[in-house]
Amino acid sequence: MLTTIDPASTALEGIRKSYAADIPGMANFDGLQCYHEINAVHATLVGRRRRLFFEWMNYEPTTQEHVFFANTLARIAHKGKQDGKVPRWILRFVIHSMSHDPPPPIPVITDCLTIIAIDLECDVSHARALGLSGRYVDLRQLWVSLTVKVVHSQWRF
Amino acid sequence: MVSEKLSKKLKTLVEATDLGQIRSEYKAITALFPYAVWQERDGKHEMLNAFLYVVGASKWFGFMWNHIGPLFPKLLDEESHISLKRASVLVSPHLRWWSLPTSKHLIQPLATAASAIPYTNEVGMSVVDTLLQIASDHSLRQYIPLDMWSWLNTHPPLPPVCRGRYLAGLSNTLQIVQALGDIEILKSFLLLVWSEWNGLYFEGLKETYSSIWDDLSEIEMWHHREDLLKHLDHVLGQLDLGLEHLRQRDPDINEDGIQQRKDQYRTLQKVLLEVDMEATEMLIGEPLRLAIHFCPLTSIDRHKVPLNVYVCSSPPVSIVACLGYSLPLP
Repeated sequence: MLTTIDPASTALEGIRKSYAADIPGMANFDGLQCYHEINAVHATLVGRRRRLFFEWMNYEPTTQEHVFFANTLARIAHKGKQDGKVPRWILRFVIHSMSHDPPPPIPVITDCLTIIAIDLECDVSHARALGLSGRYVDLRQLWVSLTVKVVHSQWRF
Repeated sequence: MVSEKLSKKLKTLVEATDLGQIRSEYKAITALFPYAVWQERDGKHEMLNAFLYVVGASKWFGFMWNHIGPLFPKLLDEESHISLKRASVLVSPHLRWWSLPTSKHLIQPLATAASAIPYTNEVGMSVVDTLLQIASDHSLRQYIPLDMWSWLNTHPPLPPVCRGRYLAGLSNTLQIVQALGDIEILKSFLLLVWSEWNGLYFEGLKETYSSIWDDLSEIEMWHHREDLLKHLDHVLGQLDLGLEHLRQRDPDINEDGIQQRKDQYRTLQKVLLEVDMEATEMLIGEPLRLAIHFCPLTSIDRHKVPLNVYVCSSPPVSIVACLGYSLPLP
């Protein structure tokens, strides 16, 4: 469903409307294997209309997942600022990720710092984390990894 | 590169002296803290310094976002690197102790960590500020280890905007300090709380009056009374320098606040002098009372007392009273 989307186009708004029609804003994803990833997608799609609270406390990804997820969130933060601010759930992800001891891999640190820099309105146009052609919010890969996990889990709304 | 931009941004925020903007960014700035402490562990101090600089400049109580809470047990762990302990002690006054879910579990480790790092004014300031904040909270004060109170005796120079000192002047923290039964700690507490930067309010003021009578009225307390009177002289002197002078360090201070503090500290001065007078009377009886009325007595220097001569020293006036009978010197 989600592919590479130009945030300036009306396509994303269309997807948001369809999503909101099918999935209630207060949907509960507790117990799902991919709880954090689903919540991230959910927050991206409904977060503009409501404040969402979900815990990162038990988020213990593999290094590969962590690197990918942090980069995706940096891109979402870059394109998806709300009222000039990065969504708070993304900043909570940053705190959780950066609080690991030993610290996370360098690409995760770079993405986390980029997210903070975006929120503080630093110029990150040349940040490698966002890619030189980081024009779009790329949720496709995230969605693919989700759907693999979702089939093993049970949805509870 | 992003890291450099961030530390530069923090400095810019402070230099712009836009407190509103700094405060509105508290969540993003808090998110930088874990990175700052790992950098600190690697011997790179720039980010932690920039972080502390901006947090201090915010002049805002409880600057740090509560989501940082889970990091602290790791930093305060006995096995953790000394630089991590130091970083957590330095930022401890900026935590929201009153609403942090794990507050009570952090107090003992914080005290232990503080004792394990080399003392500096910044460390003393942070521990004392945090201690006073915790002590003002009814649900947390029971978790303060007894030896943590001795940090008050380090007399660190607290900053103009200090949540711990403010709360200590507002709440019944003095009762807790009194209950410790340690006069040095009690005096240190009063020396820290009586400040040109804040007044005493409600319970704090009422309790201070009774504490002066209850704890400082014995004759052997004379040197404590003298220290407190000297301190009040200093505080009143600072307040006399006026609004413009004080605003250089605390832009929120106003004329009414200054006047109120002057009134309070003058009253405290008067109460201390009354207590001093009464203690002296008890010791020497009636003959000297009339003489004392003519000088601003603040203390009695017992080291200079021969058996039948009592020397009362109170700069700039000194009087010698020949009493004609032996005094019951301790």
